[in-house]
Formats: sequence, structure tokens, C-alpha cells
Amino acid sequence: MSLVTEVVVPRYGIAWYPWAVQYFFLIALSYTSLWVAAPGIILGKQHWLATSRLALLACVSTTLVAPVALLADLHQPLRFWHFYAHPTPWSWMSIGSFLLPLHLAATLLLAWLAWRPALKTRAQAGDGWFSRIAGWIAWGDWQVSRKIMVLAGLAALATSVGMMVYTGAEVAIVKGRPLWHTVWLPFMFVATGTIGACGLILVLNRISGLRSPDTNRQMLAIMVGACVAAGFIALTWFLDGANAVSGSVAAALDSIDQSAAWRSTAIEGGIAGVLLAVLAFLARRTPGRRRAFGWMLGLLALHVAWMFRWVVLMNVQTVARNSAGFHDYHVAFGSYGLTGIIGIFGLWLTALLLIELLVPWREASLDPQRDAPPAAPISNASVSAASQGAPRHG
Amino acid sequence: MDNSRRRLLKGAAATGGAAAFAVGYSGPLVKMAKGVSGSAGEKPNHHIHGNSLAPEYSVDLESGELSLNPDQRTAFTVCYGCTTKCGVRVRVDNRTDEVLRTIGNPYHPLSSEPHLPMRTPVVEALKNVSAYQDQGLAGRSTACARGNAMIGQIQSPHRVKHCLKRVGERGERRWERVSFETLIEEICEGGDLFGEGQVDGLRAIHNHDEPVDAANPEYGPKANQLLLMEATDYGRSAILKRFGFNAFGTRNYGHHGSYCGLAFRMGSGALMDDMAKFAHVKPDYTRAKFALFIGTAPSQAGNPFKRQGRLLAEARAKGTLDYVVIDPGLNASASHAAAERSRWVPIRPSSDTAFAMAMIQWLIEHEAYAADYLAMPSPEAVDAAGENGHTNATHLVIESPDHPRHGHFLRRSDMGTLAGHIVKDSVDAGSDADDIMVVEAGGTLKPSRDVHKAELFVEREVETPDGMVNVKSSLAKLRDTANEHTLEEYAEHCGIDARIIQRIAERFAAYGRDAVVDTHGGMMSATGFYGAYGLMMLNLLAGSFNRQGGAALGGGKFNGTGKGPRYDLADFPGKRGPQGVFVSRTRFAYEDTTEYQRKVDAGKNPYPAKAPWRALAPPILTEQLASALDGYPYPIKAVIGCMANPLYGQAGLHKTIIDKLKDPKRLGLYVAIDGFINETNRFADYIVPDSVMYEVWGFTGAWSGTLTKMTTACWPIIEPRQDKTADGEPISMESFFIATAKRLGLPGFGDDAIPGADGKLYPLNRAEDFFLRAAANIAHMDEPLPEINKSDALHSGIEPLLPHLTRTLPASERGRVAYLYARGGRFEDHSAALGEGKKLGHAWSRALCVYNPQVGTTINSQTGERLSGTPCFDTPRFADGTPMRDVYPQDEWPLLAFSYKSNVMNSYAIGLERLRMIKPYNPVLMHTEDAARVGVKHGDTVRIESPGGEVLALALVSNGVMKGALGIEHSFGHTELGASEHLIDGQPFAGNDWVGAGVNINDLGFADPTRQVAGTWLEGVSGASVRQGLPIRVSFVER
Amino acid sequence: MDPIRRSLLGQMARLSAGAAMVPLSSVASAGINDQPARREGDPNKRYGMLIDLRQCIGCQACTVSCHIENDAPLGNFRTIVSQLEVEQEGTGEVATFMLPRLCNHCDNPPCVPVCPVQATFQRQDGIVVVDNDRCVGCAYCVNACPYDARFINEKTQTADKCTFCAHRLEAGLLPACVESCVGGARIIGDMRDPQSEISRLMAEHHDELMVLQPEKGTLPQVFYLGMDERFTKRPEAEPGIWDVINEAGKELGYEFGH
Ligand SMILES: Nc1nc2c(c(=O)[nH]1)N[C@H]1C(S)=C(S)[C@@H](COP(=O)(O)OP(=O)(O)OC[C@H]3O[C@@H](n4cnc5c(=O)[nH]c(N)nc54)[C@H](O)[C@@H]3O)O[C@H]1N2
Ligand SMILES: Nc1nc2c(c(=O)[nH]1)N[C@H]1C(S)=C(S)[C@@H](COP(=O)(O)OP(=O)(O)OC[C@H]3O[C@@H](n4cnc5c(=O)[nH]c(N)nc54)[C@H](O)[C@@H]3O)O[C@H]1N2
Ligand code: SF4
Ligand code: SF4
Ligand code: SF4
Ligand code: SF4
Ligand code: SF4
Ligand SMILES: [Mo]
Repeated sequence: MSLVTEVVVPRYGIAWYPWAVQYFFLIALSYTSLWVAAPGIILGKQHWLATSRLALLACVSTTLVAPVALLADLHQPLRFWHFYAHPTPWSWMSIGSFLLPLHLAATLLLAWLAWRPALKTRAQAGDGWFSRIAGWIAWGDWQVSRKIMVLAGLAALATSVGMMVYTGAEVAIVKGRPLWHTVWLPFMFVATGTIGACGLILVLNRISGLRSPDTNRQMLAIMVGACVAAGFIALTWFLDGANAVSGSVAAALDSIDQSAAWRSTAIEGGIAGVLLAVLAFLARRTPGRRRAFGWMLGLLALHVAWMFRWVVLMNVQTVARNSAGFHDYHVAFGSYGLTGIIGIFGLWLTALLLIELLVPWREASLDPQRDAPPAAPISNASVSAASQGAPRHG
Repeated sequence: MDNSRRRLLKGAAATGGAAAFAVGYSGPLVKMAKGVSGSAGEKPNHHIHGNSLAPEYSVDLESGELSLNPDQRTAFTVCYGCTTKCGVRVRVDNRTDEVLRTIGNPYHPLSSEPHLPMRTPVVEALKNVSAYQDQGLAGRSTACARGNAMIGQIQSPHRVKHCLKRVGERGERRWERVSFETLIEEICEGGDLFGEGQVDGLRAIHNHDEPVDAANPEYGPKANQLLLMEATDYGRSAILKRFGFNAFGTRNYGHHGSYCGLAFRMGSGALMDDMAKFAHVKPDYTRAKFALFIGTAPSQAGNPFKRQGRLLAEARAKGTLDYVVIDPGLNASASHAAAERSRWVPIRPSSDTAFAMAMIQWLIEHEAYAADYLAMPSPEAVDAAGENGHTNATHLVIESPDHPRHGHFLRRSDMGTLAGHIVKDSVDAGSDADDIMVVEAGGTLKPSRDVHKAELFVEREVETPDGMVNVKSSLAKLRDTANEHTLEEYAEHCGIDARIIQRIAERFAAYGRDAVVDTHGGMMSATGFYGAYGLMMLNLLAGSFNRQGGAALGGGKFNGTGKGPRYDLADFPGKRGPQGVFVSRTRFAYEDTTEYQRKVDAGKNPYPAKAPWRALAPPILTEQLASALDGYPYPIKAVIGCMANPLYGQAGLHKTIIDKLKDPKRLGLYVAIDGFINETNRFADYIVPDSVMYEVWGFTGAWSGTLTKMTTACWPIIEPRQDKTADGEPISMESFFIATAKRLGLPGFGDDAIPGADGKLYPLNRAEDFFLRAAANIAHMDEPLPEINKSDALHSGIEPLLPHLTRTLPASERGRVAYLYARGGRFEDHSAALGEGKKLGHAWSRALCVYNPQVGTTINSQTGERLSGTPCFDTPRFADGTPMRDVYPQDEWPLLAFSYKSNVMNSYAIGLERLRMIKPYNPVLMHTEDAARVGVKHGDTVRIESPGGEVLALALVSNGVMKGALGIEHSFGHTELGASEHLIDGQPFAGNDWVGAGVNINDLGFADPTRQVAGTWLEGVSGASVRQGLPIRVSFVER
Repeated sequence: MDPIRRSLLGQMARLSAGAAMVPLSSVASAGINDQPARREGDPNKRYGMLIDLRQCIGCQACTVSCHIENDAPLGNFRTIVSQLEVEQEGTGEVATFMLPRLCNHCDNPPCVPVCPVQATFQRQDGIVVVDNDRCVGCAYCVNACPYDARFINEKTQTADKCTFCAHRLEAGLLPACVESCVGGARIIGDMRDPQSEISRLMAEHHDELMVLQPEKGTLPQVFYLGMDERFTKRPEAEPGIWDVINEAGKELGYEFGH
């Protein structure tokens, strides 16, 4: 029994809604998938080409949708222009508000450059409206040099690093939430983001029908690496806490100590992480396993990346700061809860499908000057059951 | 699948995703739609101050100049947030007539300490609470959380604004609207009002020619079959009583006293020799050095709530006061921040007589009482000593059982002219000269006024014309009673370790006459009367009555509704005086009834009476309803209740009477006048909407512990929100009684109802006809108040009052009356609080009773035995004397439940959202060990069962409660006041589940199992509701 | 934590990469996340509050009067008073502890630099305010305040918090919570004015005053007298019961939840 019993204490609601989770999730996928795309698209590594195409799709789709989620987390969404009217260089969020459009622009530019050859090809393919649209998107027949493409890639990489730093720092500087206030949190965001990105690419690899064995191999390898990194970060974080360097460990242990819900979350999260690492490690070993389990591990990885953000952003907000215990938070059904979460995934799906429909992303090329190979039959890209089974070449 | 079909599918899926997005994003989209104009929310008034209220005035911090905000007014009136009835200052929006916020009235002793002298110009008073020169920090005049939140009552969605008549059976929660005029007609004339048969109207009941019961003529006329009830005097009772007692002429009126604190009040009355009004005292917090709060919790609750809280806080912070809180539950009084000055000692509920007698025993044994003070036998003696008030410690009680005056004090008239006595002449019994006899130090028997110092402990024989008589001094009697048990036995009983009792006694004694004891609601147990009497005895023994730093009476009030200097509001042509026996069988000795005589004549043992007759108790609502419904001593035909809610407030009443209350044959007519539908008036036949606070006229009095004389004035500072009568007056308690009286042709109302000092008669057709004349009386009392000046009028928000003044009072009275309203009442100067030396300014002058002969000679109508005239040890019993534990043994009902007031709520505040948001629920206090025994953990759901019912609650498990006791915070667990849905003309009204959250200990109350005439468990002497120490058991409930 | 600290893990931790990351954290606070210049308000004043806990009776008059004065939505508080039962270790004596909370108008307010649009700022008189015409409602400041002193006002959709009732101070009046403080516990005033009541009391009780979460470096300007140090941090306590059940035992939830 404690020596203190609370009789009247205030309750507080949460300030950041699940939109924030969606944003942090999507934006982490965005910048990490960009990195995954880099070897192929920017460095021109041929064996990485399939992965890069998928990663670019992942990157563009998430980069497009993330700001939409972010906007919703503003209680005054239409005042977003205040960010630009009142630049505030000492605020990480303000810095982010400038980085985000840059990042969006840079990734879109990069993707556009990578997709243009194929778009141009499709524009000539006589595919009715689809060709016409491809032509519009391609916006002329001119060519840019590979150098420019590399420059665009580097710019995008630069913004993605900015995104990584700002999203991490934005949360980690918040002293008011001991659980956030640790230098390890940004690293964990990156590690779990990488895990998520690999997972997403594995899933896309499967549902797009690309089924690139290279991709499966590469992604599982990175995922294992990211898992190990995440484990290492977690351990270091814990040791820091044990060493009283980081108060967030104490806060975390406290929470786990006091709440059954936190205990089960911690156990669940731990199990999911370790399971993922072990399974990824095992699945990684043979092509058959990679083919069979890759996408499932991808889903699990996405789950891990998303749940990590949910716990960090939502659950942490329920830890009372002035009183013992936890504030009640139940995910509401409506816009600021469940339907909002689903809505953003809906938008993401829409984005993916629109790209799928309008952009021959499978033919994204390393060299914007090289003419694209003839467009592969669209059916190859189908998600239909009929297309499953036979390994295909991208 | 072909290409286009696939594309179609993808397109469809994309559309689906987009649709999901549109739905999910609707929230932000709606905001964006709003935000187009600049803000997604309501755009507040100011970019920094948001929607904060515009200041009511401003004060230049350099010059101190004050400028009013023309859009607002601040007016002085009274708060109804609890029975403290503080004077408050209310900000009203001139444009909307809406109340903006409430704060204290700086002239008012219940809201500020020290309060400002009345002669202070209002503008100065306003400045005095401002930040100018930090004045407002010391000059602070406050309103508490309830006082602030109460403004919600005015616009409450649960407020009744129309006259309602029931549809269907009583309590069905269905109503129809009727006009005020129809309502008055039906109530007065009766008829087949509900399709259930003939109902007698008030006209038929108003019968002074026939007895209510011919076999028992002492019961009085049939007119007694109207029962009036109300909560308490919220400043308007004078009109209700004028109607009831003096116009209609019924005997039967009751208020909440008997389920508020009557056991305390009567115990106190016994000590203060006031069995009529039961005077009581409160600590002089500012100067007290040591206090025991036992069964009262200053700053948790208490009357006056704010004043006590403020003074207690200040005293402990300044370090002038140390105190101990003896209470079954920990409460706000015991402060951890001032832990070295305040300490909580848990006590078993309903065991206070044990603690009190232990203390008395110790003090007497250690001669740790104010011996010199107690030895002064008479006013003459104390005057000579420069003291205030004396005691009867040395007075001699006739102990010989066969003496005709057995139990009374020995007086000169008892002595005759026997030779050898210093008394030479015989005097008539009861005459002024019939002094009390005492033994002077040294041994001679003398009239008290001739003695300065009398023997404290006397036990001897006295020779009288009737022979030798045994006498004992009061103090000797007390010592004997206190020594009936050992300290260890007392300790065992009350659950406080004997060593702790000793330590408390030592400390108490160490502070001498600067120690003081206070009690109140904790005495609402089955031993409350003697508990309170015993605890107040500690003040007497300490000699702290009427002294600075001791037990203070307070200044009393300016009574405007009596025979005043301008108008006589007490008497009127045709006034009646009520006759007969109260339906509560109180203030009337059973031995004086025809029933008693019949039994004696028949040679039967007259005891026990069919139901308790309590000769000492006032009319008590705790008996009135139940007895009337059972028809003993006689049935009633109509009830008019105003603001009262006994079915919620009296433990066990609901279950005891509900079936009978619903039966129109047992009670023909029940009219409720109220602002809300509560647990009681839910069963009414008619509800008359009433004004709520800030909309009413009235004068409220002072609380003990307010050291200066004061009266608070209220007037409708805003327009009442309920319907109006055809004459354009707001429908209210006043307009109801005026209309009823006029329709019945009763005296005292209508034209020519109020005699003026000028010999003329003035009308009483509107509430203000009465209250403005009362104001004139108050303004002209003693040294009349000055006339108001322009500045005062401007700063006090009384503009809306002026037309009422003009139309009601002669020009010569208006200025002084306006002066009174401009300050929210009449208040004696703060300096009057203190007298010379250690004296308080106002003192109680009757002899304080170590032994009360009136009590000591009263017979218990159930046992036929005499009551003890001194405090004594007592255990909880039922009406016939059976110990509670014989009926409900401990092994079946291991715990005792008690209740305590909420520090934020009150009994009718639950409808206020701003209080519910802070305290939405009342978890019950359970001791760690008791909880462990039944496998209950902090926060678990428990079932609490008593002989009367069961409730579900959440357990707050800690060591902040006495072992073996379970504490329930009062004011929750409502079923009405908004909690249940009603239908008015078929339209739903109220029905908010949260209003009904929590538990009410009174639902665990029960009928006294030893009674024939139904009644809840009541304290033996006073008939006070027993809400402390209810036997219960607790079990864990899976949730 | 102590036993672990001495353990092997602790040894390892000291060797861990934690220290290597310090530069990153200093990047995060050098320039970025620094306090911007104060603006508006009277530069000659510095408002602060002193709360004498020995005088607080837990009546919540402050809570409700503030709520009305400043039109807070139901269930949101610019100030509220926690009530706790505290058992004295050793003696077993139990007493009630009342702890009023409000914005501390910190001298180093973490809520200010985070604001991406400079909507919240500290005035020169020390009062931390929100410009609700500018606020975008990102709630970053709400999360950044370690004291839960802020909330998003659902009516205005902007950040809301105690302003020390600047609108009243400017009118020469006292804040709602101060003027209605029944126990007389709350003292507000200009700490730069040596004559003010608050300056006098602060001088008198200098060594006894405490602030909440001093280790956060926020330099709170609400000072407590009679404080038990345990409560300057998140207390170790049996949590308050936040459930609300009806007579049938059904959970109703908090009526004013957000
Ligand atoms: N905040 C607030 N203030 C109020 C009111 C309110 O509703 N709320 N109501 C007003 C009214 S009407 C009144 S009458 C006063 C009453 O004011 P108080 O008398 O101070 O209050 P109660 O809560 O009735 O009882 C006082 C204490 O008695 C304790 N008690 C219970 N049983 C026993 C017992 O057997 N022995 C002892 N020694 N103590 C026991 C309770 O735990 C409680 O703390 O308060 C007034 N002030
Ligand atoms: N278990 C337990 N029982 C208790 C107590 C306790 O501490 N514990 N306390 C006891 C005490 S001390 C008391 S004083 C009694 C109180 O008991 P009562 O005085 O009988 O009841 P209240 O609930 O105060 O009822 C007043 C009613 O007035 C109405 N009302 C409220 N405001 C207004 C208004 O402005 N105008 C009009 N016209 N009507 C209004 C409401 O309907 C309300 O129900 O309860 C007692 N009962
Ligand atoms: S104590 Fe509070 S609720 Fe009671 S009358 Fe005074 S201000 Fe009103
Ligand atoms: S208490 Fe919170 S809101 Fe107030 S100044 Fe400090 S950090 Fe900011
Ligand atoms: S909520 Fe408003 S005040 Fe707070 S950080 Fe965001 S923009 Fe600034
Ligand atoms: S100073 Fe004003 S805003 Fe701040 S807590 Fe007090 S009343 Fe509320
Ligand atoms: S008003 Fe004053 S005494 Fe009452 S709770 Fe607030 S700070 Fe404490
Ligand atoms: Mo009461």
C-alpha cells in the first residue's frame, strides 16, 4: 500500500490525436524507403533496381499522404499558412514545416525524373486516356542528364535526413514527457522506420506482382540489421536509464510497474519485435522461405513500426504527469479516432492505386536519358489471383 | 481478367480508399470549412484574453481611481449554495440580465475577515478588493466553489419554470402544465382533482371549529391537518410561517433541522439552558489556541463554511492554533501542509459519549477545569469578577426521589423559613427572589446571588420544611456519571487508545481557558444528544464560553420581520395563534395526553407510549411525515413543502414511507414549491415553480461564530426566469401564499395586512410589500442607517431596485433602505466582536448547565424512565431502548457506515456541471484492513448492505478512515434533480445519468424495528435522524 | 534504481554510447529550442504567485471561479486543486494535502520555444500567454509543458492556459482565483516591487519555498509554502478513482472527457 492516496486529481485528455501516429508512421516510411531506393535510383546499382522501384513507390505514396495526416492534427488546419508567415527557426516543428514541403518536392522530383522515361513511352503507347495522362505527367519530351537525376536524388536524401532529424528531435526535446525525452528515441524512430519500410516494400513486392527475389533478400537483410540496431538502441537506452542518464527509462519502468495495460503493451511489443527479428533472420536464409514468408514478415514489420509509434505517441500521452496512474484514453470511433486512422490508410491506398493506374512505375529508370524499355503488359502488375504463382521479371 | 476491368477494379478500390478518407477526414474538413473565415473554433473576443470576462470595473494602479464598466453591474445579495448563506457580490451583464460571476461581499462577515465597516463608501469597498496597493489580498471577499457554480441553477435545464400538475399516480414522473390561477383554485377548493375521488382543498381543511380528534381534544383543530415543510430559513421563511401559523393557523410546520444537526443543537441547548431555540457556539478561531473538532469538519463543511475555513487556515498558518480532528473519516480539516498544528484521530462512529465522558472524567479527576470560574454561581458573581456568564456547576439538585421537586434545583422557596438557615423570609416559588441555593466555600448554604465562590462538589442533606432532602451539586452529579465507567472502558468503546485520550486531555487542559471544542453533524448518531452535551461540557469545564479564543455565541441578527420601528410584521389584525399537539408528538409531554390518562385510569401501565413522545424536542420533520401517514397522533390532509427534500436527506425515510406517501387516501394533497424536481417533490400533486437565488427577496441571519451582529439582504438582482402570475408577478413561494391566503380570505395578506408605526395598515399583495418593509425596520433599528448617496447607488447595482422602493415605501424611508441594499444587508462593525479584557462582544447570559433540570426531569415515553440531566455514556439504541447491536449483531453487520459532507457539493448541487467536472462521484472510504478482509482493493466495486437496503459503490481504500467504519460522502446518489427523465405534457425533461452517479448513505437507512408507528431510526431524546453508525456489511463485486 | 546502478549493467552503461550522443542533444538545444525574446507586457513588472499550502483548504473556489471567469470548456482546467491523503511514515498519522496547480509562468518556459508560429510567448512581465488568433492548434506546447498547465480549448480550437488573468491585472483587479481564494492561500503580485505583498512573503519565507519539478529547469514562478517535497514530482500514490458508476454498477465514464 502506498503512503499517498489521491482523492481528487484532474484528468487530462490527449493533445495529439492518432493523426500524429499516422504522420510519424508515414513520414518515417517515406524517408527510410527513400534510402532504400537510393542504391538503385541514385547510385545506379542494377541489382537494386527492382527494390528501388518499389521503394520509390513506397516513398512517393507515403510522402504524399503524410502531410495530409499532419494537417489534421492541427486544431486549426487552415491556419497552416501561419507556419510560413511566422517562421520560427528555434522551433523544431517550424523547421519541420519548412523541411516537409522541400522533402515532398524533392522526392516527387526524383520520382518524376525516374518515371519520366516510362511515362513518355506510355504516352506514345496509344492507351487512350492513360497515354494522354502519362503525357501530361511527363510534361514534354525533353531529357535531363543523369547528373541532374543524381543531384535530385541527393537533394531528396538531404531532405529525408532533415525529416529524420526533425521528427526525432521534435519529440525527443519534450522534457515534459519523460518517456519522450531521450536521445535514443530518434534512433529508434529510424530503426523502426527502416523495419517498416522494408516491410512495406516486401508487401508491395508481393501485391504488385513484381515478386523480385532480390528485393526479398535485400529487404530481409536490412530488416534483420534494423532489428539488431533497434535491439541495440533499446538496450543502450535501458542501460542509460540504469545509469540514470535517461529519466525516460525510469518513467517507462514506472509505467510498466503501475499499469497492466502498459505491461501487456510492453510484452506485446517486445514479443513482436523479437519475433520479427528471429523470423526475419530465419526467413532470410533461403529464397523459398523468402518468397513464401517475405510479405507476411512485411506485414508484421509494418505492424511493429506502427505500434511503436502508437505506443510512443498515444500511450505516452496517457501517463499522468502530476498524479499517479494513467488518464483514460479510448480510441474514439469518429474522425479523431478510428475512422480517421482508417481514412488515412484509405487515402494511402488511393494514392498507391492512382500511381499504379497512371504511372508505369515498374519501369522507373536509373538513367533519365535512356529510353524506357517497352512498357510491360499491365496485367503483370495486377493484384489478381491469376497473376500469382509464376515468378516474373520486372 | 482484361486490362480495363482490372483498371476498373483498381479505380473502384481507389475510390473506396478515397471515400474512407473522406469519412475519416470529415472532422478536419469541417474545421477547415469553419476555418475559412479565420478560425476553426469560435473566435474568442480577444486574441490574448480569449473569452475571459470583461472586468466589472478597473482601478488605476497609480491613482487608485475606479471606473465602472457600463455594461455590467455588481449587486449585493445572498448565496444559496449551502446553508451558510453568505453575502455575495454578483456581476450581472446589463445587456442580457445574465449573471456573469459571483464573489464575496466585502461588508459581509461570512465572506471576508475582517469585514468592512458599513459606513465605507461602496466605491471604497470595491477598491478594497482590487489589486490597488495589494489591498485585495488582505481585503479578499470570497465565494466558494459552490457559490461560484451556483449561477448554473438559474439557467439550469433541470429547472421547473411552469406550474405542474401530476398525471397518473404520484411519482410516475408525468406532469401537465396548468396555469397558476387554476392551480390556486384547485388547491383551495379541492374536488375530484385527479380522477381518484374527492380531495379536500385547503378551504375545507381550514377548520378551526372542529377538533381533529374529539377523543383527544388536546390535539387541536382540524386546521392542524395542513403540514408545511421547508428546508430551512433561506431568508423567506417569515412569509411561510405567517401564512401557516398565523393566517391559516396550523400547528404543523417542520424544517430540515431534525435531519441536519438537531442532536447537536439539542445537546448544545441542554448545556446552554435553551431548550426552545437550542443556542450553540463556535470557536473564536482567530484567538483560540487549541481546538478539538469532533464530529464537525471546518473547511470540509460546516456552518459557516467559508468563514470557518478561512479562519482555520489562517490560524494554522500563523501558528496561533493547534487542533485535533476527531472523526471517523479523514477530511479537509486535517492539513498535511500544517501537520505540526493539525492532527486527525479516528474514532468509531456513534461512540462520542464514550470519548466525551472519558475527557470529562480525566479533567475532573485531574482538577483540570476552570475551578474559579465554575465556582461562580450567579450573574452577580461573574459581574464582580469581570467575567461573562456563569454555570450551574455549584447549584444543588434535589436528589430525594420522593421530593415533589426531585431533579430540580434547590431554591429558596424550598427552604421555607426554617430556623437556623440564613434564609429569613419565605419567597414564592418562581418569583424573582426565588434564588437558587448553593453552598458557599466553607459550607454555608446561601442564595447564589450572595455568593462569589461556591463549593463545586457538594453531596449532602439539607433540612427543609418537608424534612431532610438529599442534594448534590451539578458538578458532583457529573463526576458520578463520568465515573460510571473506567477510562479504559471508554477507550475500548470509542476505539481511541486510552493513552491518546489522556494525551488529548492533557493538551486540552494545558491550554486552560484558551481551549475550545466544536461539534455538529457527527452527532447525528443514535447517541448524538448526549454526545453533543458531553462535548460542549468540555467548553464549560475549560471555562472557555463567552471568552476570546473560546466558545463564541456570535452577534445574532437584526430581525426585520418582528414588531419593528416602522412596521409590525409579527402581528396583524385577525392573527391566529396555532393550537394543539404537533403531529410529531414533540414539545408535549406524553404524561399530559388524554391517552396517557386513559391508560392510567384503566389501571394500565402507560408505558411505553404507542410511539415516542419527545417533550424536549421541537417539531421534527423526521417524525411528522411518517407519523401523519400512519395517523398517529392524527392524520394530515395536505402538505405544502418548499425547497425541502427529506426523502433524500433523512436516512431510511424513503423506504419507510414511500408506499403510504403514494396513497392519496392517506394524504390527499401534496403541493411542492420548488425550483427543481427532487426526490421528495417528485411525489407531489402540484409543483409551483419558485425563484432561485439572486431572484428572491429575503433576509438571512447570522451563524454562531460570526462574532458581530448581522443580517444579509437579498432582492431580485435579476429578473426571475419562471412564469408569471396573471398579475405579472413571478410565480413563487410568496405569490403562492399570497394568492392562496387571499382566495381563502385569510387575515394578514392582501390589503390592510401590515400595521405601520403610523397606525395605518399597509397591503401585502406582493413579496416586496413584506420584505421592503422588513428592510425599513432593519434600516431604522437602533441608530438608523444613513441615507444613500449617488455614488453608492451607482456602484452597488441597485438601479433595478429603485422602482420597487418608489412604489412600496414612503420617500422618507427609501434612502436608508437603499443604503442597506447597497451594502447587501446590515452589519455591525468588526470592532464589536470583542469586549473588554478577554470578553467577547456578545455573550450568552443564561447559566450554562452542568446539570439541566429540564432534561433531568423529562420522562422517556417508551421506558417511563427519567433522562439523565447530565451528559452520560450511552450506546446506540432503538426507540424502545433495545441496543442496536442486539438486533443487528456485529458478526452479521461488521461495519458501521457514516457520512460526511462533500467539500465541493451540497445536497442539491449535483445538477451543476462545474462541480461535477471536479467531483463526479463519491468513492466510499474503506480502511485497508477492512478491505483486505473482504478481498477488496482500491478502486474495486463493492456491494454495501444494511438492514434497510443495498447500494453499489467504488471503494477508496486507505488508512484515512477508522477501522470498522465506512465513510460515504454526502450529496451524491441522487435519483432526481435531473437524474431521471420526466414527461411534461408528453415532452421529455431531464434525465442525465451522471447526475445520478454515486451513492447516498440514506438509502442504507432503515425503519426502527422496535416501533409500532412507522418511523426511521431516530436519536432517542431529540428525534434526530440517525445517519451515523448504520450497521452494514460489504462484499466485493466483480465488474 | 540504486541496486541496478551498482550492477554490472551499470558498468556497461557507463561504457555505452550514451555519452557519444551528447553532441546531438546539444545541437537540439543550441539555437534551436532556445527561448525567444520576450515581448509586450510591462517590462518593469514580473508577476508571480505564492501559494501558502497551509492556508489552502481545498475548496476549489479557485477552480470554479477561474473556470467561469475564463470561459474554459467543461472538464478543462486552467487551475485545479489536487486533494490527497498522506500518511506520515513512521507515525502512521494521516492528513489531507491540497495542491493547487496552474501555469507556473516559468522563467524558462519549455512551452514557448516549441511553438512553431510564435503564438505563445512570454511577456516582459513574465506572463506566458497564447495569441489565439495566431495559434494553429498544433498542441505541441500542450505536450511540452511538464505541468499539464495547457490544453486545447475545444471552443476556440487553440491552446489555452492560465494568463494570471492578465485582463484583470491590467484593470487593477486580482485574478479570479486569487480574489475568491477562501483560505487566503493565493498571493499574486509584482516580484520586482520590493514593497509588494508577494515580495515581502518571499523574502520572509525564502528558504521554505518550493516549486514544482525544479529538476526540469523550467524555473517556475509559482512558489509553494508548506510544500512536501514528494509532491514536487509525480507522486508515488494510489491513483485517484476516475471511474463513475451508476446505481446498477454500470460504468458511465467521465462526463466531460475530451
Ligand atoms: N461543503 C459543504 N459545506 C457545507 C454543507 C455542504 O453540503 N457542503 N452543508 C452545510 C450544512 S447544512 C451543515 S449542517 C454543515 C454541517 O457541517 P459539519 O457538521 O461540519 O459536517 P458533517 O459532514 O455533517 O459532519 C461532520 C463530521 O462528522 C463526522 N462523523 C460522522 N459520524 C461521526 C461520529 O459518529 N462521531 C464523530 N465524532 N464524527 C462523526 C463526519 O465524518 C464528518 O466529517 O455544513 C454546512 N456546510
Ligand atoms: N446521509 C446524510 N444525510 C444528510 C446529510 C449528510 O451529511 N449525510 N446532511 C443533512 C443536512 S446537514 C441537511 S441541512 C439536510 C438538507 O436537506 P434539505 O434541506 O431537505 O434538502 P436540500 O437537498 O438542501 O433541499 C433543498 C431543495 O430545494 C430545492 N432548491 C434548491 N435550490 C433552490 C432555489 O434556489 N429555490 C428553490 N425554490 N428551491 C431550490 C431543491 O429541490 C433541493 O432539493 O440533509 C441532511 N441529510
Ligand atoms: S459557503 Fe459557499 S455555497 Fe455556502 S453560502 Fe457561502 S458562498 Fe455560497
Ligand atoms: S507551466 Fe507550462 S505552460 Fe506554464 S509557463 Fe511553464 S511550461 Fe509553460
Ligand atoms: S498549440 Fe498554438 S500555442 Fe501551442 S505550440 Fe501550437 S501553435 Fe503554438
Ligand atoms: S490567474 Fe486567472 S487564469 Fe490563472 S488560474 Fe487564476 S483565475 Fe485562472
Ligand atoms: S480557493 Fe484557495 S483555499 Fe480554496 S482550494 Fe483554491 S487555493 Fe485552496
Ligand atoms: Mo444542515
